[in-house]
Amino acid sequence: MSAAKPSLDERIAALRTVTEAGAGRIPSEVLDDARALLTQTEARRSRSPEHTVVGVFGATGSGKSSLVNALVGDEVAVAHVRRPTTSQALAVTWEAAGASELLDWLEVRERVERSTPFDSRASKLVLVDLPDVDSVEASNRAVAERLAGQVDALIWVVDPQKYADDVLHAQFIAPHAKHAAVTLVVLNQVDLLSADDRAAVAKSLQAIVERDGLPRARVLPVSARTGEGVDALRQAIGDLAASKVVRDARLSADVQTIAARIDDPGSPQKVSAKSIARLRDEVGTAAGVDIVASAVARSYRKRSGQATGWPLVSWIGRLRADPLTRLGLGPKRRGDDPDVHRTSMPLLSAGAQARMSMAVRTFTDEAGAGVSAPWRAAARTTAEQALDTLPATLDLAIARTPLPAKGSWWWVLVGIVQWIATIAGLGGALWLVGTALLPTFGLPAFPLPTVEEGPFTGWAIPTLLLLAAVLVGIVLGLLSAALSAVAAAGRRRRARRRLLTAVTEVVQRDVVTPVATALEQARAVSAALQIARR
Amino acid sequence: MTDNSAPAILSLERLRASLADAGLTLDLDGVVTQREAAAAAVRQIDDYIRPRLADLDAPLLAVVGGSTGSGKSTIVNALLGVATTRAGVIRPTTRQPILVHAPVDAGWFASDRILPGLARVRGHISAPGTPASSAGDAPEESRIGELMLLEHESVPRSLAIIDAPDIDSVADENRALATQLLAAADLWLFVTTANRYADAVPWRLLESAAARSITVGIVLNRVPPGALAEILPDLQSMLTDRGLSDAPIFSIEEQHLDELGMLPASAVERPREWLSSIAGDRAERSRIAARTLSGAINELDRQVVVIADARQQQLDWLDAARAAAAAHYEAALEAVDAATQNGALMRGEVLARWQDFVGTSDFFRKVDSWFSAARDRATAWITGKPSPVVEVETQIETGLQTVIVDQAGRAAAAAWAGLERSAAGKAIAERHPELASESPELPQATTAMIREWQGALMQLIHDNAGDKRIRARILSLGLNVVTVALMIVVFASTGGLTGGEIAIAGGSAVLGQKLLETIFGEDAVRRLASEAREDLHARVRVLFDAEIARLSVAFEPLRFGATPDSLRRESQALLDDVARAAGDNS
Repeated sequence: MSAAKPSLDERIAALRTVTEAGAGRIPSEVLDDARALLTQTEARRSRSPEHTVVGVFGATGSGKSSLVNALVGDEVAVAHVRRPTTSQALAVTWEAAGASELLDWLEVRERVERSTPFDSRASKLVLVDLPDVDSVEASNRAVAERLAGQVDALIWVVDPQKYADDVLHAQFIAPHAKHAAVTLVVLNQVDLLSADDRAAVAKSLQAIVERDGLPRARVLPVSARTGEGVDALRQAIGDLAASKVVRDARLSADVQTIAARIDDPGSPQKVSAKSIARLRDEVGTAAGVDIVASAVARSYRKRSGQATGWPLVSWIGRLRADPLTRLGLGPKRRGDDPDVHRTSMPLLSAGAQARMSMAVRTFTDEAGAGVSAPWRAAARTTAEQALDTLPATLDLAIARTPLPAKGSWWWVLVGIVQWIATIAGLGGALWLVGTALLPTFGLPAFPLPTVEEGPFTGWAIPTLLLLAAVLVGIVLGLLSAALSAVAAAGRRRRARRRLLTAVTEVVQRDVVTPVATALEQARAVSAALQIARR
Repeated sequence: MTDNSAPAILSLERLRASLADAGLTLDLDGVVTQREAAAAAVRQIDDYIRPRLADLDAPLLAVVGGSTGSGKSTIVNALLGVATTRAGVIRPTTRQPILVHAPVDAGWFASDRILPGLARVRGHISAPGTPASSAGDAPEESRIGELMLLEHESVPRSLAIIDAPDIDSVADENRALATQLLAAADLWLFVTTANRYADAVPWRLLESAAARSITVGIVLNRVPPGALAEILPDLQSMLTDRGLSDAPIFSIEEQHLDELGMLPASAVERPREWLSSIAGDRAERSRIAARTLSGAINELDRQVVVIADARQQQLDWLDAARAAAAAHYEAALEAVDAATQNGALMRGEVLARWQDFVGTSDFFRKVDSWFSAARDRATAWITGKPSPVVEVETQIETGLQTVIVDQAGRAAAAAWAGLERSAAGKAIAERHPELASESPELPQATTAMIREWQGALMQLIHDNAGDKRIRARILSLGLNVVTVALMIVVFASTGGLTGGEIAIAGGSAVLGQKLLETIFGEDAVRRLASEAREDLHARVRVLFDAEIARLSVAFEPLRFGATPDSLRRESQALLDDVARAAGDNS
């Protein structure tokens, strides 16, 4: 508010921003009026900008025509006792060159030209005598209403009988309250009042005009009949015409008036990080981040079991499908182009979709808390459009995320040891069986070598070999299982983190940014409205 | 008369009660005018119709009304020959209405039978020689609700004169009061001027006077010398155009007031005679009163029709708004149906475990599934983690719950956005922000509903387990496994539930279906599944109906009030009663 008043160009640009960004959000009747005003502004500025058009408005019988005659100094307008008198607008033009196009635009057909200058300072002037605003002839009022929206300066003529009439004040002067800079209020027929009454009536009129919203409007007492005050009025009109800014001031006031009719959409608050985090978590869960992370862990443990388990039972694990492969995310995927092949992750279930939709809706409502309803609704529409493509986009993002799916270096070591132990155990077993079977085939029995000393004194070496191999196999299997459980948990966490990062990117790009952009338009409109209204 | 009019007065009271309770609470287009019409109709009954219906012979009330600055007060002062009300150049002049009556009629006007809304203040006539500019009290806004009563012997018997405020100035309360006083009058003395006679506002009032058959006299004040010949025919033709050709025109030339601010008595000679002739003739008084009364009742009937239509419009709007909201919930119900078909609810990893659990014919997978099932049972036993059956059950439950709550939330948001689009709806939406989303209890209610549905499923299975063989088979598998299998079949099938579609819907459903078919037989499974689906649909509908019912909290208070039919009926009854009373009289 501290800045200087915006120029007309700034105001028009602001109003244009409002009409463009506000389409579909601002009620159409206001929007149509705003667009019409932009067109009209354009039209007025392209037509003889050096002429100042001054309209004389008032009730029937207030003496508009007589006043125009007095100002012109000639009987150009017909004044009469029968009411209503004037039903066509009449234009009196000084220095008429170039004004005809302007008058065509104003649709004023009755034209009078004057060659003597109206005022030494303001040579190019159009004075329009208008039909009344309050008679039973509705068409008169329509002409006055239309031209009140087009002329550059407004003169409201009242008389002692009618100066407090509601029609003129409520339906004409008050709606043009923003036009104070280009408005004159004339109290005509003061010759009918005594000197004392004259001041009292002027004061009373001043107070009513103030209540209309024009606190600084000047009230000029005039008598068209006696000529009293006519010079002062001519002087005031000359002032208006001489000041170059009259036309711009009028158009500025028009922009201000229409801008005041448009609801301020308000400015959205900055979207909180907490809202975004909640959205990411919900969407991530719905998209299956936890399922994939847990598949990563289970896949690791499965492969670890196959590589490091006791070979006599670990082969059973091969019969089960790898959890990651089942999701289409297994190690074999390498070399495939994830852009082409979507994962074979199950399509989002209806429940997951619902969860996603609830999360997006909650987020949009939180983000749109500060703006008015039509703008919130627009943000919601944007979010709903994003929801249509979100599942497929997320699937692709998950497929592209590099998952920690490689094996560990220690698997090979443990695997070699397991196989050595197994072979050693088998050797021991064969030895034992062979020794036991030799006599059956009539072959001499070899005595089994035994341990000579130590805690196993007297045990047969093949037996020990067999037992040791089984023990090593089982113990090593159990140890590896424990180790891989720890490693798997780590991989699950890493996978989850990477997947959530991918989800965050998608959510930011497809939901947060579009919603924020839609809401930012409200801020832009709000700011433009501030300029247009100031 | 009193006996004859008793039923009419009863009908009138009934109609008044209905009009006072017209219930035009919604901000629809034109409602401001409609509300004003309803309030004006009530005032018209209180101020005029009721007292006049009760006593047709009571004194007449003549209102001197007109535009601001037309000289009403000056004319009243001239009629009485004494300055009673303040006249001046400052507009608007008269604030407090003044009623001047003959001393004998004091009792009638002091009672609140007429204009009961205005407090009575007894005033005094200013001493002779007081100038009109300081007669009476200074205009004061706070006294607008008072009616000042003055006695003066120059007023004819049985006819009181009210100096009304202006009808067209910037003072809103003046205009409202003037309209009320004109509506309460038996006859109008309407003041206009040479400057004003073509103003639109007074003519609107004169048109309404013509509609009510009020007796009108026109005072054309402030006529410039020589202008009368031109103005008079113009005014006369305007009156004729509007059905007031009988109205006498009393013209007064523009003239200087005397030093007391009074017009000479000669200027108002004709209007005074007009008033006296009416006051002096009892039959004429009666005729005027009866004509105005019947005109007022007929006009009231026209207004009641307008108000009844407005009331109907309001009720229709509420019905339409409710239907629009219900349509959103109907769409939500359809969406829930769609989500609970074709396996949409069960696309998920956990379902693969179910497949593992129920098994396939493949030998190795059987071994594996036996192995993993045994392991799962063991881990469940040791760690307390749920078995696949429970997991599947939980997944389906939460999925179903989320779908229902989400759809209810969408429907609520859509219904809310629909409300926001109209002015009337916007007011409702602002008063009930909670309607923008689903009710906070809905998630819990949905969970409870799903539990109940599962309970009903178990009961259904139990009821269908007729013979011992089936019961033994169910027992061996576990009732919950069979229930989950049935749920899966329900959610995997399309609404029609034919064999081919199930096959398309996916392997897991086929498994469930096979399992159930071995127990119950093919036809029974089909029947069970469709019963279960219908049961679920009905339960979701109950939930959504409860959501729609929240709108009632917002809508029902707006329905309170007289029905359009009762308004029309009561007005007709009044017309009939009045016609009957008039018939009895003649």
